[in-house]
Amino acid sequence: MKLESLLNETRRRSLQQETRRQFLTKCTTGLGAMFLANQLKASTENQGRPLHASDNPLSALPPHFPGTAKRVIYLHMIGAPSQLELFDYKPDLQRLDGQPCPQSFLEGKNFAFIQGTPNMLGPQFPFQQHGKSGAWVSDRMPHFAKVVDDVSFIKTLQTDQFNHGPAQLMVHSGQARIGYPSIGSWVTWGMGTENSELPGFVVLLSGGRQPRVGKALWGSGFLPSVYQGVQCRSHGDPVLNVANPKGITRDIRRSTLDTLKTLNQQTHDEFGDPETLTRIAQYEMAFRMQMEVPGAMDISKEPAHIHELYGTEPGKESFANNCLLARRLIERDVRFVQLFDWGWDSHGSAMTEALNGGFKDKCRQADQPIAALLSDLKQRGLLEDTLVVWSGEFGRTPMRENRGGREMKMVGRDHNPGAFTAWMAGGGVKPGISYGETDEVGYSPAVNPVPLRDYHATLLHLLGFKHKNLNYPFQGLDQKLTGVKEARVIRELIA
Amino acid sequence: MRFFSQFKSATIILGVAMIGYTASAEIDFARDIQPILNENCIECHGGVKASGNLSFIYEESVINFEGKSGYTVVTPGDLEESEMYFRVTTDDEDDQMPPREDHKALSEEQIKLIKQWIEQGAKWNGHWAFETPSKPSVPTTVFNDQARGPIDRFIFSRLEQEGLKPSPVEEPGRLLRRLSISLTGLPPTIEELDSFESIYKKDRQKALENTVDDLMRRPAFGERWATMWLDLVRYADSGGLGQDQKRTIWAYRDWVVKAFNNDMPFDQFTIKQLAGDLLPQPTIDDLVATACQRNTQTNNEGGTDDEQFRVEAVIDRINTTWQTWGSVTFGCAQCHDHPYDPLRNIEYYRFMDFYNNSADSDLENDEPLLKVPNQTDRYNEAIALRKQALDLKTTLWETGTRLRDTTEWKGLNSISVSSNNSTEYAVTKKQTHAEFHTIGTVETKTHTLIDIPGSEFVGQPLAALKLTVLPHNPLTAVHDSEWGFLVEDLKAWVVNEAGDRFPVHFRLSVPDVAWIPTDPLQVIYPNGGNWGADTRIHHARQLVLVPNSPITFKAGSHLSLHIHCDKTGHGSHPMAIQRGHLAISSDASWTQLEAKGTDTYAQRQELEQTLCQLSSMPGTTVPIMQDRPDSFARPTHVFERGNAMEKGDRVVAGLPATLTKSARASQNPDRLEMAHWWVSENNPLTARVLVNRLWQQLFGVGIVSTLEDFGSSGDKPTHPELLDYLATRFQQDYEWSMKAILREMVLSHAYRQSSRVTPALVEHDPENRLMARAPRLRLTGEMMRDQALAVSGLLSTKLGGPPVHPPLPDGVWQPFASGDKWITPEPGDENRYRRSLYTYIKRSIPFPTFATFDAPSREFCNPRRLISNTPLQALVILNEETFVDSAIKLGEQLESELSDATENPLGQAHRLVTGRQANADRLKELAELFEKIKEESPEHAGTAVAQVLLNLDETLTY
Repeated sequence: MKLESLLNETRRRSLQQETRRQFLTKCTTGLGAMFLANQLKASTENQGRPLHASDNPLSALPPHFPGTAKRVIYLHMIGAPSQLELFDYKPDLQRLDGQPCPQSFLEGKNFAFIQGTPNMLGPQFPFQQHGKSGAWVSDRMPHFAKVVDDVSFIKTLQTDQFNHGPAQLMVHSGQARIGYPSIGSWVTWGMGTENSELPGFVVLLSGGRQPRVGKALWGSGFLPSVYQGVQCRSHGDPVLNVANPKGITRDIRRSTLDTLKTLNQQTHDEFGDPETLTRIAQYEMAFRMQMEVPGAMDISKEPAHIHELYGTEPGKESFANNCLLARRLIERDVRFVQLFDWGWDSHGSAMTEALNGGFKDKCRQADQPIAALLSDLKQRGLLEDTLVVWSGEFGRTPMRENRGGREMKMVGRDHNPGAFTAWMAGGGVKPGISYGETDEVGYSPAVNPVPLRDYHATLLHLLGFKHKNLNYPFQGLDQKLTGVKEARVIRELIA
Repeated sequence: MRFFSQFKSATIILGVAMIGYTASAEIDFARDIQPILNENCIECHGGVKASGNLSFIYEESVINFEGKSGYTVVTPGDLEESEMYFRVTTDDEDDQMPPREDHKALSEEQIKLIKQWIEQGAKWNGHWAFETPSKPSVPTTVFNDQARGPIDRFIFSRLEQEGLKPSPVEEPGRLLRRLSISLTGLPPTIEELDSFESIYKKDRQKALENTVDDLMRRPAFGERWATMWLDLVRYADSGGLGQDQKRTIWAYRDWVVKAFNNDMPFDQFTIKQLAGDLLPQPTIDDLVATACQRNTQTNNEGGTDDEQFRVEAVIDRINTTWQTWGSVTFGCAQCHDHPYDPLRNIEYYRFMDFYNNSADSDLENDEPLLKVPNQTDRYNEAIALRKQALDLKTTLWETGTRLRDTTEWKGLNSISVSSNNSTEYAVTKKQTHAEFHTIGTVETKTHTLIDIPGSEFVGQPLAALKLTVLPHNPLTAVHDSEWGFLVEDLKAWVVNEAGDRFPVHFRLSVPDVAWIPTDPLQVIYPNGGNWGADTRIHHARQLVLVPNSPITFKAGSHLSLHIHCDKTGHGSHPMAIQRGHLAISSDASWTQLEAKGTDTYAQRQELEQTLCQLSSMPGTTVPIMQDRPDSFARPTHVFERGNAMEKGDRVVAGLPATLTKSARASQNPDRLEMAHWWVSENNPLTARVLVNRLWQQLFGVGIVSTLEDFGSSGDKPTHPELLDYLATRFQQDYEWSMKAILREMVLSHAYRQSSRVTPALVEHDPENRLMARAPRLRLTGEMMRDQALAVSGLLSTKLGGPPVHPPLPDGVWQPFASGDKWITPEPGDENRYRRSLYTYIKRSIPFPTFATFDAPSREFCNPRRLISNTPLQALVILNEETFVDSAIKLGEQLESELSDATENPLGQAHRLVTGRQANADRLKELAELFEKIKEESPEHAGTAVAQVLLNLDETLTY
């Protein structure tokens, strides 16, 4: 990190930035100034930090270099789907089915639930190769198998957390603790958004259980709170407080805001605080948002063939509805759409959480809408510059879970931070490839392990960011999504 | 780096920042040299990396220090003998520093500074924040007439240098509003405005002084300032992480409010929160204060490792302590020496030792807990009972363990051990006894079934049985603990030759610890306490069981012992006994212990009675700090590269060398001494840090803008002398009174001047660091809500108590753990409209209104809130239920006043929300709106006007 005696450098740059400075000085105290402060600092020290317009912290900005992805849809399957039943085909594991796990797999490992020596568990569903790429996909994902040539797999993702809460935080913020910005926050900070009438970073939940660490998964951490994800809902108020109070019509609201604007303008004339002007603009934006958001979130007017394609039912909270919503939001240039589905924690501890139970239902619910989303984006020409990412928070063990040291009634697998599968599509990703190989039982990487920081660096790279330069000073450190250890962009995944 | 944050948008005001930093004849190391080193050298010769053993962070590795090259780095006064000077000036590519491959050479100016510094004797003074502040002399300025005291003269002196001047005094109504919100978080009422304005006309100073004193006497004062503190100590009503379950800890929040209201001196405030439990005669309040440290997160997700999250909580305590009291980023030293500041990696772990021995261990029940009576007048009674119970337990325990240690035990050799499930035990012969241990997979809910043949008891009746439990791997566990065990029930029978079973009743058990985890003395009672290592085991644990009367075994009979360990650690780990052995004694002393008529019997009776009295007292509980007994102290180790899984050298408690140069500490300090150290006479940080926080709360920006970093990578103070003046005044003259120092701040001209700003001033000083005008601050989310409730007359002024659940938008409350219900009180229930401070704070579901207005979700120490201005905020005040309720209420009042022809109701309402009368233009606008809506939708006219009033820029700022 560079330090205070950059004085001379600053002096030089300050001359270069004459034009920008003239613009800046017309602005602001207060918040505008706060942003400017950080940004100006950024411009003197680190060319990587975004410089938003003083009156709009979400102004659209170019990233560090022209990226291939302009928008992101992140599909997170909360609970961690089993890679061994979906994408990471391990015929050798079948042969070991039922045999005691070798001690070498257990030494020095922490498990959430496995006790002592568990038995190995073969793949629970048949696999086939699909498409030109010949990717292996299990029979649980028949729709997805048809679009698999658009997708690129990472089979060797690694995390260092084996409990859900911390592991989900690792995937979304690069840290296992609450209090760090999520990917969506970094990206929205870095690029702002093109559509000021919708939030730049939208979060959609399938309904049912919320993620354990809740809003921390889309929090802005130490970045200003304006960059946190905004949860939108497919029923009820689509965005909190977006509806007028009972009896207050849009006309009444308009009149109210007109008076408010006039009075606030007078306040600005009298006090000269540029922040007042920003506030006037925010109220106007809020008014437009009240119009725009319900429209964007209403899927009922989509044509029948689209509903059929996604398997959507308007009015419900469902992953399918959220996939369609994601497309609608992306069409409207929302920067980052984050979907959370839940129920993928197939331990075998209950019917709903078992490979021979709830897992099959989850696959049915997710398969069709995911395939629909990819093909729908493609047919609209949006897949080219929209990055779609799918992952859980860790993988699952090739051993069968033996919770409490006993054989369990249902079949399931424990958490495995050592290797898990993610895939990406669109946004400049090289389609139809698979990066990294796990060992013969899918337990650890054999070739090309991918720590989460490399994965994050790659996502940022696709968007046009140098991951090292997208940083923010906090607690004495230039904090990055990729953390302090050296991260590598996985060029092999980029078209 | 952050040095430049004071430039803000103004590279133009380069001059501002440069005051005091231009080269002068006398070289100042911290000012002139350190920046050069930080920029150019410390990447390789710093805290993280010290190539050639040379680190420019520490004096001792620079001055008269012989580097790896064999040359002295810097010899004071001798350029020739200073290798550093040679290296930065030579053209020899092999020797040149910084190396030219990827670094640029120092500038001529920089080299000159280094030369002068060495020639002048290479004096190494530390970073400003690490040197004890001394009282500066107060400057005289051309604006002396306007100055209300030294604060103003420091500020004016800088303004004078900048060619600026202070602003005129704010108009009285707005000034009262500013004071009222600054000090109590609530706006003034119309009556208060009237009264203030009339007194102010006669005697400004008196009006202000009286008002300030009055505001600081109100309970609302503590409620407002508590929020600042609760952000720092990350107070929340839930546990965070995996389950984010409800946590009952509000008694601590109320303690903070009370401490501010009673103006508890900050030294006391500090000592009680860091080590109240170690004070000689701690009161209930002293113990409640230690809950400060129990605001750490716990993780109760199934399958988690308690030790991992216990350690994370300890780490958070270290970092929070240093952030809160020192504004030092000590957390950087967790993995390596601090990169910029002279704080060693090992010193981080020495500090960890202060906290590592607290009894809490990431347990779901948040033990250890303190019973806090509802009525404060029963506090003395409660603490006396608590002390009595603890003393009695200790006495009984000491008597028992003394006997245990003097008893001649006979180890059992011919036991057989099995389990009730698939867990397998084997028995291995040792020298004096046979040891049983598990082999292979251990199942949950394992009962250890032990059979002891009668032959073991030949010639000696069984007077006492001693159970020793060991870790599965005793060698590694001392260093790195294992999952522990927990005995919840224990049953025994004498079985005769015919197989008939006769239950054995144990009269007494003597555990090896008096009070961890719950109540180990009661292990033998059904549904009583339990005994064990919950959740980790380091070394051997012992329990002695005493039967009702000594048991004599007939030939062919044997003893059957069933030990029940049904608990699972987080639904996953069996808390079973993995290794252990048994011994017996026929010593009659055991039969006498606590036998009727003995002292120990009476003590036992008294203990039972005391505990009963305590538990029947109505009250709440709060998690507190309590150290484990010395015999169970956890060893503290350095974590290699910050990784808790890799434990390095063992360390003992200590304070960083750099800081103890000024503020001395003993060789072996305990946590209480550490607490005292923070507020000791020469501590360079604490007073500065606190006055800077108070200043920031009042003025929007700290004198050091980086509230989170006073280290050498943080911002430098804009007014270093003012900072030192305030710090010494606070610590010495006011003896740590927060009210006194706040009073002086708000009575300054700097605070009471107008906040109007001219384009020229915006250009010169956009962030108002120079204070040529008053700040214009946006209310926090909490203040925003409280204000709406206050001006509409809905606000309840009830103080303290359990958290409340005000209206929440539909769909927000979907907690992961479904038991945590949000039940909103109906209209009419005062808990619907309590002050925002009392709102239930769940970390995973932050209250949306506050989160939208930049409140932190309280996972970690939050030194300052970054303020944003967004459309979502507009939607909150326009449409959120509480704000709408307030608007409707305010609107109804307006309508009735308008129809009653009360004098100027719109003007008064405007005054209520902004502190001042609306001018004719504004009144006209409001009246027109009212009339317009009245025509279209009569029942909403009042609400609409009230909504304008509640959303005015002037209403949202102060």
